[in-house]
Amino acid sequence: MSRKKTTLSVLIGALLTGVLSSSNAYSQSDQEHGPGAGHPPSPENSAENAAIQARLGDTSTLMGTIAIPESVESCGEQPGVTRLLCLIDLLKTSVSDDVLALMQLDYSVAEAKKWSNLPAGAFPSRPGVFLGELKVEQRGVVKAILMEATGLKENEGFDELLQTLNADDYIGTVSDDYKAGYSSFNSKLAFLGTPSKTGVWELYYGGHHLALSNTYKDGELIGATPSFRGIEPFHAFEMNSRTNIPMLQERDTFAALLNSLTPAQLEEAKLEGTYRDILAGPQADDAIPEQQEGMSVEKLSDTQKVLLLKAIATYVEDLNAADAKKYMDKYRSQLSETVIGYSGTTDLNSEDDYVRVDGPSLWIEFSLQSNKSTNEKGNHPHSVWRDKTDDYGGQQE
Amino acid sequence: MIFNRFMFVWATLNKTIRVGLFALLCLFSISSTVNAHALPGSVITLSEQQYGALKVEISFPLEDLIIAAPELEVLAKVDVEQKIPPKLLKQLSQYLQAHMFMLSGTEKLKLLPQQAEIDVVYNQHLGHFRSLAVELLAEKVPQEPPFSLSLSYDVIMHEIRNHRAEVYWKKGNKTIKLSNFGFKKVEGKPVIHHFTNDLNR
Repeated sequence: MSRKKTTLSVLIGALLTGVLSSSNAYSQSDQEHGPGAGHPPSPENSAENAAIQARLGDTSTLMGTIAIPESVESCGEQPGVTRLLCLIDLLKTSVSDDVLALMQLDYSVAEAKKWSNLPAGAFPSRPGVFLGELKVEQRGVVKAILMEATGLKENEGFDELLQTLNADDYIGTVSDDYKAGYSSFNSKLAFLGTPSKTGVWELYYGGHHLALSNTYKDGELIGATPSFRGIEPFHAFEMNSRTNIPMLQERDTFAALLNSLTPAQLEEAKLEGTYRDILAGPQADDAIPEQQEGMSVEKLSDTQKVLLLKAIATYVEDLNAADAKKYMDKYRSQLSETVIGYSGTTDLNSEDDYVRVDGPSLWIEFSLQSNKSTNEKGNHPHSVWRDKTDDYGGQQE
Repeated sequence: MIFNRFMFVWATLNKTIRVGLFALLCLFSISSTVNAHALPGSVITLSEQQYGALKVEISFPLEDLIIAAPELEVLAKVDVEQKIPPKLLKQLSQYLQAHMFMLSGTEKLKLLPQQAEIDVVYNQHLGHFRSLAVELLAEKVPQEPPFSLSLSYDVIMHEIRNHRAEVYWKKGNKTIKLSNFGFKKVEGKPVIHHFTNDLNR
């Protein structure tokens, strides 16, 4: 009995020692590693961060089930930029001056570049109004706006956006990281530049694991990227009365392509190095290598090319059908100058697995990394679609 | 019942194995708080010291360093908040010298390792992780101000391609961000980053 007690106390002691010593180390290191000790100034203590923390909410916006108000009917049913602008006007005229000041901002590429994969609490610089700061009817108009700008296929476009919101509501039920702001309340909407049929403006929508940046000029979409998607949990999960699987299609189509490659093709497509995340993520607009790496798409069979186009479509079809067709036509016409590369396993189900498509215009990355927010074992994807020629609408300032 | 069975198995193990398992348990209790989600990049802080010396402080996640340089895996056994022993510091320095250099004007600076230690640091969205902080010193920078400094750096990123580096210049209480870059090569060689204008602001 005494040996039992001794062993038990030793085990508990070991656990406590480990936990306490590590937490002591954390707090001490936090203090020591200020500017000058090889670390940058911490944004976590900034006034901007404090202001955002005060605005964060933890209630679900239920974007999937809220109704689109009847007032939207005044914008007609003909899809396109005219309807999109009408819907935006409807929203802008319904909000208070304070909300409008958050939502309607001047256009600049610098502002457009303030997107992130991080949750709202960890990236306070996102412009815009939180979805949760809008009234239910106003959120119904936002729903109509996003449905107009994005694709309506299952698990892509608007449905993907909804499921990403549901993921944050899900994480909110399992995470104790309250400062992160895991909730669909905390995705932001902004108009950079005044939406109009003349001039440049961007529809900015973003939150944890999501960045939509549609740039319009003179009544036309001139850029649909950077378009970032990520999801945790990656597996199917139940939230807000539905099953959510927003990014399994991206993984499955890429895995189908990689698993179709012959050993010789795999050897050629294998990239040097390890990829623990995507390269051209947030605040890494310069990260796309100047030289292509991997295997030319010309070496793919026709069947394999179809698989590749299916994978590309899981990104491009996040746009409405008309705009998606323009991009798919462009990328199809550039296939012979496009390369594919991968690192890790071809099933794309393990940490550090990575696949990339690199064309004259097209850049897509899909990367798997270990879970962060759910505390579940396993991995989750980060993925980005960029267009080298019209990222941020090709704007420079 | 389960406890009794555990105790029986525990008692049958020899002392060495028990000590080993105990150490593993201790390690697990620390590492379970570490998150392997893509870790931060390198942070390089340059500062002018007395007598024309230049201090170069670099920190990066230990986990990523070991992936990039498996020969430095032994660093994982070093206690946190303890100075790295001279032999290991030399080994670390050799790796760094192979993946970075600094120029003052056109003259290559001799970067002498001063000290290094591993700390457990906290990042709000990444959790806790072990970070290696190393201090290098260029004893005599040939140029007086205005400076002309350049840096070539592909530490870790030569293997972990998403790893990036942020460079800061510290002057008194003021810290200026000089650069933020990722892995990039021109004609097979890492890009050289020039900081002249920002240093002399």
